[in-house]
Amino acid sequence: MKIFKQLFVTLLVLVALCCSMLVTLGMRPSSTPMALIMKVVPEVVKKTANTDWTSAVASDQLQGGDQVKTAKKALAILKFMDKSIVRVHEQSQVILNADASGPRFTKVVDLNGGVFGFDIKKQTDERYRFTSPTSVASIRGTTGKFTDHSQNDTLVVVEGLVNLKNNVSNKDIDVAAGFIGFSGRDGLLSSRHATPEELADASNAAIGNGGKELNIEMRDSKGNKKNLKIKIKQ
Amino acid sequence: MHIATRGRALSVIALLGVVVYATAQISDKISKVTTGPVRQGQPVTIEAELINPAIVQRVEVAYRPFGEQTYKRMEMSIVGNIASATIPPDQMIPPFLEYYLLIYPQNSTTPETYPLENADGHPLRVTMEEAQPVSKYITVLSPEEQGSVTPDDLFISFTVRKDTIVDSAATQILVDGANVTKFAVMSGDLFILRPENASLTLSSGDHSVQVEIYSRKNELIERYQWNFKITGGIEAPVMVQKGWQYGGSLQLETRNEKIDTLPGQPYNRATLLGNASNGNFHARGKIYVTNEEQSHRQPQDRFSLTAEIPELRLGLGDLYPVYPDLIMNGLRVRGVSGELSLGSFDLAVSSGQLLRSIEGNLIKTFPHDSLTEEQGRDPGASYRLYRPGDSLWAKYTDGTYARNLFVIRPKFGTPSSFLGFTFLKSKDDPQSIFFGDKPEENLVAGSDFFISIANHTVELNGQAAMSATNKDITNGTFTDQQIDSTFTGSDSASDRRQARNVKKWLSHFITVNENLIPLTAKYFPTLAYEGGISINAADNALRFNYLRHGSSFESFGQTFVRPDVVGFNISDRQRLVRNSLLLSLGYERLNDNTAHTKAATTTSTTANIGISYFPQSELPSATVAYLFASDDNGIPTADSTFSVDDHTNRVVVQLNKDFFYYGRHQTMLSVSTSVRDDLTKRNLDTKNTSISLGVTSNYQIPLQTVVNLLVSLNTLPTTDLAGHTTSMSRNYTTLFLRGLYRLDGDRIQLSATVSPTLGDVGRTLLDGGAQYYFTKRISAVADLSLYLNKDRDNDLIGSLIVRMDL
Repeated sequence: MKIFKQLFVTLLVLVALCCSMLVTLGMRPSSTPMALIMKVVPEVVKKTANTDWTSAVASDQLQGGDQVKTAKKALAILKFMDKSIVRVHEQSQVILNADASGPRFTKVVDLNGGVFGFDIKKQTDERYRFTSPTSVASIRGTTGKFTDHSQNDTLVVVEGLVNLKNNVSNKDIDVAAGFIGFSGRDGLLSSRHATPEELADASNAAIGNGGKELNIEMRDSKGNKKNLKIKIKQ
Repeated sequence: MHIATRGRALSVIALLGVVVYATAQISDKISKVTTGPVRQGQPVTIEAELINPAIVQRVEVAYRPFGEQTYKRMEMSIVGNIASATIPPDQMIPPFLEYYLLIYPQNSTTPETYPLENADGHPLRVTMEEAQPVSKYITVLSPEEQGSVTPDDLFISFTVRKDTIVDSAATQILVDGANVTKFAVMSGDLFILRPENASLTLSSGDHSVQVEIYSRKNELIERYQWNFKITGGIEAPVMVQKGWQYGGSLQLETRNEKIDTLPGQPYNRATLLGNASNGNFHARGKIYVTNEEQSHRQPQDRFSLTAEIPELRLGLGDLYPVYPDLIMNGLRVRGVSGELSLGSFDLAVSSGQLLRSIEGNLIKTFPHDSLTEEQGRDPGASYRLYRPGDSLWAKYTDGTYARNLFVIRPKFGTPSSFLGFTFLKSKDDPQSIFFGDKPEENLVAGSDFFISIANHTVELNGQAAMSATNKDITNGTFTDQQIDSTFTGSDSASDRRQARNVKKWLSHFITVNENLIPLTAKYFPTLAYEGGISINAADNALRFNYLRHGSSFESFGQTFVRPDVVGFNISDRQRLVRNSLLLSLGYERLNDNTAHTKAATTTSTTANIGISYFPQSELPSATVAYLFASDDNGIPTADSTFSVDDHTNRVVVQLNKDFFYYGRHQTMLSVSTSVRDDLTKRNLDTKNTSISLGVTSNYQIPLQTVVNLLVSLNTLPTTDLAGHTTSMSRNYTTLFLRGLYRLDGDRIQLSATVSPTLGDVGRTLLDGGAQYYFTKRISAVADLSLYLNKDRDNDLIGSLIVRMDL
């Protein structure tokens, strides 16, 4: 009787493990790529697990581990399957990865120097995470610009809310719409109101739409709502 | 088996993204009417090409959405020989918008309509579909829906959502009707198609992608389509630009018109546009000069300069400020306008001239002794003392006073919920001309609100305004002595004192005398208000509006508010059978006589029902609508003077079908008939039937053709010399053939049109045109039109336009 009970428990554990593996696998996009290259200006290179650096063209698929690099005055627009967009600006390098270890599937964009703008659609089951050697930014749905400088990272948030964590000090702060966050190699982490020029620049980097108007809701130190309208010109 | 062939017909969203030619109607003032892309809830621009703009004083468009009987009116902006107006988005409700044009000749207050016959009862239509619902299965990645893309960046990509009933491998992809499924690459849920892999050559212009999703039982469960445009130009890299950016264009036009036996009329016009920006600062300028600018007409030249930063917008010159539409909407003001936007508080101000002064014409002078004789001879003319010294009087035609306007509007809240207050003051300048009659003054104060609930699921809106108008301010405000002499008899001293106090307070805002309206507060004759609620839930869109416009309500900033009307309208649109059926219902009931001063109250009732079918198959889309309207004031029909009792029945059937055969062909068949039965002794019965068939084709070669056939059958009332009403028929058939061919990589564009009209109207249009791009930035267009008229001399119109982009 005891053997049957042990067998039953073992079977139950195995079934549970199989189910959890299936669920985990089911959550991951099996053969669907992570992103597409939508546009390259004028020349962009990419590197995959099987190929070295080669010229990228629009419609190229990007899987986890693939890298994209832009030269001077170049631009690459990446579109994820949920229509989120990352615009990799000149002299930048990003690596795409997927992380299924947490409670939610996370798409990771690792910035290895340079700058990219982002327009991330609101997420329900998934997350985005932007990383650099210094910082980690956790995203759900937001628009802004992420820059990896030599001394610090900057994160300008045009819409939404981003949690910015410094890897050196292990501290984190929330960067709200209309703010710019700084994450330094020395572990310092701070934020302040972004200037209209910084916000317009970030919007342009993220969206690139000519003539689009953004209406940013901000709060002052007393918690009062203030609206800032920004017209973006391409 | 669901493999489509290249010639397979494609059910597309009719009329999206294309310029629509209104069915060729007969008019000697308008050569053609076109509308821009038509989408539900999006504004649509109606453009009318005038044959002889010199004889046109102004053009108005009268329009109404489905379910309403009352036409709203808007003055069209005339620039050169094009009159245009943009219909607001809230009027764009499926299945169609109805409209007609009113053309006012110079020196006439009686307009001619377009179409000519019974335009009010048998108007033109702009057909539209319900906006395509969000796909249940497809996420479009490239190209963006309604987006533009260069040929180099073009590829088609989408994902198909995983579902237990979906067979992803059975998905079919059609580009411009050609099945290209086998050339697509499928990676998991993702589909990618590069045009070169499918040997597809897509030229500049509009294109469509259609994706069909099938179930594991091989049943079509969704057909989703999106349109995109290929632009030939080189798209600028998406870079953050800093510093000053400039742009502009110059267009020079010369046009000569020889109409009937009139001497040739030349038109010379120049348009200079410019823009500049730096960061958040943007500025735009426009100068338009024409030889039509003359002192006896309202301004024809236009100039404007606008500059803005996010918090502030300033304009100078000819501007078209928009305020709540009971008060001001769409009128040109020459002056300044500004808007301060501080988030939860906005302030808009406009100040300038609505009309410029035009001196009247002196007809003759005569001594005071002859005044009675002259007035008896021509009682309708205007007379005034011309030279007081020797008692010389003048007979003259009225000029136009300079009319100035000031509007201010503070607004509190956000775009989704706000409360606004508007104050308008407008006054004629009595000193601006000598030969004028009865300068006027107008004051309007109003408030409006908008509340959006649950992400626009429920929307509430309302506006109210009260006006005061003085119909003659020549003698200014009453003096206290005049009040005392007016309020005599039964009025006590306290009444006179109160009247003096009211006058003293009110005269700060408007001239107070016996010509002020309202003279009484009974029934609030100068009060107007409107309110409505719309509910957009699930597949249903319900709208209810209540309105009341007093009989004497007037705003100089909005000349198209229908006075003396009260009532409601309710409309409902329901999407059925997986969005393939759209049921539209409308009911409206309006009364006049709000001031209770008429012999009877006329009740106007309209009931409409429309069914649109958008099949998920090869069948054409179809719209069938029945519209009933009646007017009745309850007075027996034997009373030929005051009785109103008529019924109008209308039926509209329209079929649309797009198919691909060496190109994209958009076909349309429309049959519309209306019968108005006037039950009174006047017997003003009308019958109109129009049948039109049209095909617009964009071939794989750079050729576009338009073929339209219109049969118009009309029975109209006419009164003979004895005053008896009889009926006359006016039937004609118009064939419209137009071809447009592009050569040398779109550098040259040639067009030709032949349009004969046969029947009771005899006219044939022959038109030829050419456009040539010298460089990408410099082009010229030449056009020659010849109208061969049966009953009068021919018309000849030639034009040459040179355009330079700076």
